[in-house]
Amino acid sequence: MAFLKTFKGGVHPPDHKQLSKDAAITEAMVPELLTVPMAQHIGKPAQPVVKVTDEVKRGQVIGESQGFVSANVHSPVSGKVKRITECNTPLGTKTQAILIENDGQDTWAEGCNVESNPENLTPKEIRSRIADAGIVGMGGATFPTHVKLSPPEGKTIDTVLLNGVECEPYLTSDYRLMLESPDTIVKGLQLVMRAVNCNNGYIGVEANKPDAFKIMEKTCKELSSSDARLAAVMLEVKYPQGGEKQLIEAVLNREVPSGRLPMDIGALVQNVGSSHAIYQACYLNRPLTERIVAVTGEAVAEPANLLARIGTPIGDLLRHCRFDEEKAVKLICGGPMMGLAHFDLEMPVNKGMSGLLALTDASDWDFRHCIRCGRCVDGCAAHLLPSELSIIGESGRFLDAEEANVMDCIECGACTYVCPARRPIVQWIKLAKQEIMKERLRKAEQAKAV
Amino acid sequence: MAKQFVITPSPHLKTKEDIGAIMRAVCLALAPAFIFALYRFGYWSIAVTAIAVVTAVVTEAICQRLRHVPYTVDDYSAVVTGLLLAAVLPPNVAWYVPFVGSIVAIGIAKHCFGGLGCNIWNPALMGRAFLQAAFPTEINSGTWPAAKGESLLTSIYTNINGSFDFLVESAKQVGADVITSATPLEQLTRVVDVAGKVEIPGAIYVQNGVIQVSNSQIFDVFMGNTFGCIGEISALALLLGGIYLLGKKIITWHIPFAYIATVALLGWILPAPYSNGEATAYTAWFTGPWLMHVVGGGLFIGAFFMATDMVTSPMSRLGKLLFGCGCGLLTIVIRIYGGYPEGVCYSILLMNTVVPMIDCWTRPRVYGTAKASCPKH
Repeated sequence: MAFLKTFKGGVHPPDHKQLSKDAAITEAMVPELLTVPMAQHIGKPAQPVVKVTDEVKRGQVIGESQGFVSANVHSPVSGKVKRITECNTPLGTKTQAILIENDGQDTWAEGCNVESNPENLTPKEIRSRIADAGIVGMGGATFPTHVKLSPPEGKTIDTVLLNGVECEPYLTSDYRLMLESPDTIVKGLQLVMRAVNCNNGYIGVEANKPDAFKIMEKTCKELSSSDARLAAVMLEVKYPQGGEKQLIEAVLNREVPSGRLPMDIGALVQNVGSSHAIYQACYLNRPLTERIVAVTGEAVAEPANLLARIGTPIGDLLRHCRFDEEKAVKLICGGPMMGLAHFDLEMPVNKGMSGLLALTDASDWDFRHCIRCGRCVDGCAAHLLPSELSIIGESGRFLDAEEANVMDCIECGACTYVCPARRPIVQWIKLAKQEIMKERLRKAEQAKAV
Repeated sequence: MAKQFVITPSPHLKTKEDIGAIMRAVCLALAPAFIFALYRFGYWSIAVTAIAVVTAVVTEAICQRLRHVPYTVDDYSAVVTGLLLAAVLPPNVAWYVPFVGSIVAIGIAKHCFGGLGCNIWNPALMGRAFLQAAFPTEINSGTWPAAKGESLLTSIYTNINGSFDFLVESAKQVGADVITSATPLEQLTRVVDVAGKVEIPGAIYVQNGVIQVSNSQIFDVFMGNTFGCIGEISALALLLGGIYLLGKKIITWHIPFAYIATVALLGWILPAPYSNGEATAYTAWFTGPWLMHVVGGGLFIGAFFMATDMVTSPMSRLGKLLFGCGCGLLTIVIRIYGGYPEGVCYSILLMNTVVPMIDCWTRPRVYGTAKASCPKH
């Protein structure tokens, strides 16, 4: 136990997981009206392929993927298209959305929800199944999974890492999934390994979830074979242990070079929820129409891990868990460290929403001068000097931050959590990154004009 | 109207440990040293401390008013400066010494540079350095309350060498209330070769080119049965406070360890000058009284409380180690070869000056890159 694998840096926020960690996954009520956003992923939004008053079945494609870096969107229920409109999304944007009136029948589309044996699928077929099912990174990043599984010519992946770390405080959805459905996760991992043609698979679990680790270890042992070696790895409890780069550093002791991708060093990381979705797509022909959302926080009386249909308004989930609207000050989609604050109770659940928090703390602080305590330096997983970046940011010299490697920041917020002077460090860093991106764009356009 | 929710950027969690919490922990960590001072030197030492603290806080408020910046006296940083300044003053000083010292510490060393976080030098040590120049006789009078808890000046017993117990006993015999005596470090700097004849029990002397310090002397100094400044006489009390700060993770082990280890190592290695009656001779290499260098004087308050001041020490762990070693080197050089018996104050101030350079040399290698970031500004 003394030398658990981990990365260099990191902080220890209180985990608050006891609120919902013992609540078994239950199905949330399916509402009368669902709002299905077309942009639930990084990349181009999907294009609606249904018209108002069309009858749709559960699992039917209603939004078609546009180009390679995009994802299909499926109807989460059977019913009728009521309207095509706009909605707020958990990504903090407004997007086109299809409103579907639920007919309560839950009839699956043809070919969906049919068991099949994926033993004989080729890697290419596995990838296209995953693409067809509209699977995206379900830990919150929402990057289309089939893109990750298609390394360009000449790049090989030697290890697939499943991310069961869930280092964000409050969140318990991945934890519950690992406890309740270990087989599907590991079988999904095997499919990913076959899709990228590699033999090593690891599942990283933090040491604060020993029961989940044990069950994953057991399942890995049972399903491991000579051409697909599987193992669970226990990791030190530390935020952001679940960051992609940090997980790779902890398990494989490799660093992703600045500005490159994990596939450049032969690694591929998938969330355990995505792996479960891949299993469902390949073994059951079920597209991604539902996900587990940890509904928790101090303003929620009965925290729960809900299996919710994509498109369910977050207000429904919160009310299901008897949330105290008077007491709640903040609504957060995702974890408290990186999740976005929201105001719209009608906003729908999307594919990346791992948690829904109702917090009672307004968390609005005055900040002071940096006292150079160095806690952000010790905590920075990218080994930057956040204190220095914060001073550059405070003085508004955002472009100067580029020389201080600001673009290597993973925006985990550890520096801001730990700062005793309450400085909004990561906020300044995000601003600086935006300004630098704008400047790069401007320069590129200038070069084009010349 | 629908319920309105607060929108702020992430992260939505913040540690409870803000600047005030850190400073309060430092105050608490200093408590054993001041409780011991009250027991050992009497109420005047606490009055000196109170004057230093109150002056520091009031000066801070006035400076912030003059600078048109928000009042932040509630962050306890001025209290810490006041306490640290009082800790390095002798117990018998007049009221104006801590008063002037605190004004210089807060008004000049801290606020002229922009307040907490912007000062280059440790404010308390700047105050002490100023007092050393401004009131040399008050600071170096070498008079101490003879009996525990008493400090009324009626008569004086003078003897510059000797152990604490011997001096207190002698003072009692002649009915004196105040003793003029050298601190253990002052005794170290003026050691003589007594050719084997020790006339005063407990004195530190040289024999066969080696400084003779007994274990019981070292133990007395470690416990605080000695002469010295208000907050620095008991190494034990300071060690307790230091361990508390380490346990609370307010400070890391790097600076105290590097500082104390360097002092011990160099204190053992380096030959010290002494008088053999006619000329100045040097003790043998590798025979120095390293334990006395460690427990005597202000090393513990310097290593655990002064050098670890966040604002004026490096940020990276490697930088902290370098900083601690530099402090140790300068301290021992001043103690053995310099004009002052004690080098902690000046060594830390000098190393404070080097901190920006150390920070520049010890920038961490950025994840996924070959070398450390190095901006030109």
